[in-house]
Amino acid sequence: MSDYDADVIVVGSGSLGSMVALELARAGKKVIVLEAGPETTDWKVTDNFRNSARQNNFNALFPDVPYAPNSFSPGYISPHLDGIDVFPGTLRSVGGTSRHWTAATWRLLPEDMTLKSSFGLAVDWPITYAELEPFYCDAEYEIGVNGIADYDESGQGLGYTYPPRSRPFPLPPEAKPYAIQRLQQQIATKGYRIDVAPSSRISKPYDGRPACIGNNMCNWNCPIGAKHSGYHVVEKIRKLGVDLRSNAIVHKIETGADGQVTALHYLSPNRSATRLTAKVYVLAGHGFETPKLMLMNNLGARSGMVGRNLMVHPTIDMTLLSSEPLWAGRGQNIHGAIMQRRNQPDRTRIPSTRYDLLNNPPTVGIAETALSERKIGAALDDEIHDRSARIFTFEALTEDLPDKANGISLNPGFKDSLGLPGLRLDYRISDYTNANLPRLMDDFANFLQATNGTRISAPTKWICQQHIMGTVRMGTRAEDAVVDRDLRCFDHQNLFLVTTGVMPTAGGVNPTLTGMALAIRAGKHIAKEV
Amino acid sequence: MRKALIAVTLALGTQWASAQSSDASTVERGKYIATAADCAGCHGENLAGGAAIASPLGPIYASNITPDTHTGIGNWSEEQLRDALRKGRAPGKGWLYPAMPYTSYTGISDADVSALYVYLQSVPAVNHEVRATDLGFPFIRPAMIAWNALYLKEGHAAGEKPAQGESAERGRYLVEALGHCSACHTPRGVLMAELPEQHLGGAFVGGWQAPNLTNDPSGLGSWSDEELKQFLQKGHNSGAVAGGDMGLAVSRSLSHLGDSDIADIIAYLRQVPPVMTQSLPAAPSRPARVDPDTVEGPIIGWRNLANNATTDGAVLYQSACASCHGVDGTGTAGPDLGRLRDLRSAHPNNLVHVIAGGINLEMDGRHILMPGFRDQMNNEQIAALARYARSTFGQVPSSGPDEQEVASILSDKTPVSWLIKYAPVLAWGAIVVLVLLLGWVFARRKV
Repeated sequence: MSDYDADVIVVGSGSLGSMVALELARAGKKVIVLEAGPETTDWKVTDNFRNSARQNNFNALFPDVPYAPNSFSPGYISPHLDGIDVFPGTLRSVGGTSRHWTAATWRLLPEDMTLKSSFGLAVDWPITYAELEPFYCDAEYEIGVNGIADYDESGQGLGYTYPPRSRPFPLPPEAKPYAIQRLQQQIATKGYRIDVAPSSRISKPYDGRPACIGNNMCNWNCPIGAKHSGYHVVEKIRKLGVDLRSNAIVHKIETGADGQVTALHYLSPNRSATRLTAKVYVLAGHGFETPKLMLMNNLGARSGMVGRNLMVHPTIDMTLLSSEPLWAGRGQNIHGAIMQRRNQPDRTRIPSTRYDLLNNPPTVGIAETALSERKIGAALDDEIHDRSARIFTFEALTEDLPDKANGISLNPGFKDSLGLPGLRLDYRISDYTNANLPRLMDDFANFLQATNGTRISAPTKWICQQHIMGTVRMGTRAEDAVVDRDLRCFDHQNLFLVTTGVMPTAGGVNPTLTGMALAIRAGKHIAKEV
Repeated sequence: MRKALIAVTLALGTQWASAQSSDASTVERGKYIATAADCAGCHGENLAGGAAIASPLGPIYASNITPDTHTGIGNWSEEQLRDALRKGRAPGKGWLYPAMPYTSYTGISDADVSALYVYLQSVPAVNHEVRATDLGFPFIRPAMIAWNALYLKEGHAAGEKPAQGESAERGRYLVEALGHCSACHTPRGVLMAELPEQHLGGAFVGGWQAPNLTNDPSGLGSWSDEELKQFLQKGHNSGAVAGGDMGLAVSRSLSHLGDSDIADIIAYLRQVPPVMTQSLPAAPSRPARVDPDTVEGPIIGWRNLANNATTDGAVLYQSACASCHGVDGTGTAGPDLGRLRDLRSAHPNNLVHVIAGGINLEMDGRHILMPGFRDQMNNEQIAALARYARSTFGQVPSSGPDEQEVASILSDKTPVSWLIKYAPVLAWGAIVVLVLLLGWVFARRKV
């Protein structure tokens, strides 16, 4: 049918948008991808990193454009937080926020998707782990994931591969960094075990990408492409002929009487407008921008759930100074994790928790602190040398539950350069989250004791991960969910939402791999329809 | 009766097994020959063909050489395979085009043709119909009769010279007949035949520079045996990395040859009559002095953060390359750039190709990978980066390449002689002249 501009239009070029576009392009479909933000090449991000005075902010290396503001643009997000200090960061850029992700590629456990039936909490997913499993494999092979097979990721010492997997990891794990080895020896005395975290920082050349050589700037953006980012998928879809348009800010979505989407409009930074049509439309603009577009156009309104049920993985961390050098920063960002609290029977009362051993190069933070203490010259050098060898951060990432009161809504008080609104963010730390605190404090005290360390930053406040879930939740009924198990909107048969915002519950792990698996599954599904 | 039957079965079984094992060793030998001849290079890993071999006259499609009886060579006799290799003549097709290097393969021994035949008949048959090659008039297959009469010396690989000593003799066979090195490394004349006087003297293929392999200081004469051995077996040494098709030739073919064959190849290369080409400036004695802090000041404002358009080679180098090659080019995970011959060559071809397409060299569990930058840089930026690397790290006085040269190198076009370029016009012109002449003659006779 030539009266459409494309078979499918995808809004958003991040990890999930580019992945669904890749599936569709491989199936021979004509695809247009619209990205609100600009394109910054990988080498340019390295250039920006080298010359940036704000290396403590991953977003600061990417242009913060006035026509597509992100969560760090002043005023764009109006936070109404209770009991938590930080809200999730997002990037609007070709390749999406995964341009600076940690690359932790955990799978959910089967129980994470059946909280209601397993623990009497929240809801069950409308899709089972077994149904999603093949697509987890596809995602792992697409982006290159390293990890250990025959391994219980639930931390319960099951002695066999759990969650189950039908294909092995495509890549072997990285060698254990010294810090992880040493910490393992120390905290084992208190009964903890450090497990190996899967990551898409590749340990061997894979799919045209070189293996990691330790440039030590993972989180900002790998300068050689050893760490996967959505930009790699963007390069693939371009080769397959996908029409990717950056600086294309979608703002208006037309629907017909039957709820079908009939057209989509985008603005350029200079305000010129373009209208496009397709058989199927996919919104893949992150867990914030997707519901924002839905709210701006009053879509999916029947459920009353658009923008609600925000989950962010409340996180609390402790930084210590060990009595001996540990050399944090060698090896992948998160190589070791303590999984024992992930799936305990008392999950009915206390959230699933994972302790990450944060292995970021710590020098920037140390220098900032030392400078604020007015140390300069040799004293500053000494401080950096000493502390960067001994500092280490333990972080507890916890599962939060969906609550209608938490979420995003439009904030007309903010207008970007095109006159589009900002976001209001509401989030309150729940009693369920706080019920975790006594045990978290015990664990942190044990880590401190076992490492014979000095606490330099106490676990006193909740922050959050840059994980956005729940805002366009999937479910079985139009009355309490926005999309069905195939990510199709109940109210709009040719509109699909491909974002981690569809996750009805959060699990205790980073959601991106799950999002990719859902994206691949949705892409295959859509390809059959158009 | 039953015992007798068992005895017969056993006897047959033993006989069958011994026939199997001698076959197995022949198959193994044939496989080695196919590897040394890099059949898979054009015919594909499964040998089912189909790949388009770019030629200046148009694409030539590699045929299916698996034993499939319909689309492959399952019905061929050993004789027919021998003719294809030696005479450039194949059942069903007639005359082959010399994209199939039969001018080299013609030197393959009878015994090796036999073993190769057994091997090729043993691989899994793949039913795969390959597109017919159509180069258009006048490059029709029968035209090759005349070409072969001029350039094919049956039984003698093109350009080969006698070699002294047993090792070099075997080396000659590997280089000239099986390895068909001259197909890329010898320049070609007006009718696209290899020029014997410049045998292995280096040539340009698909935008790459295939270097001078002769024993001249401007060729391999300046390489040590150890450097040569390392390059042939591992695809790199301190002065060179095999990119493009040479990388594939190393990973598919050369890295699988035995140590003694590699030694024989080196022995022969030492005897290849020198062809003098432009010599390479020496590697810089000390690394470039580069202070990355002076490359660029702080970047402030979203317009600067989003500006991917710089054509400053130093900025591009520090951003895209220094993570592996070091701020001063001396290399960390990647090689020391100042030592790379391709960087100092008078021709920037290979440098440009590698910047654009990277290196992807895989062999026996080892994998050398450099990503290409074609997706993230335009030709002008690749040119700027190449110029910066040549002048700063190669320390060669050079102004090239510019944007147009990069575009031409990356277009993968091999230059052709005017005769080939205008051959269709000339041929048709000749026919018209002939017809007119005949008409004139007939007309005169009638009068």
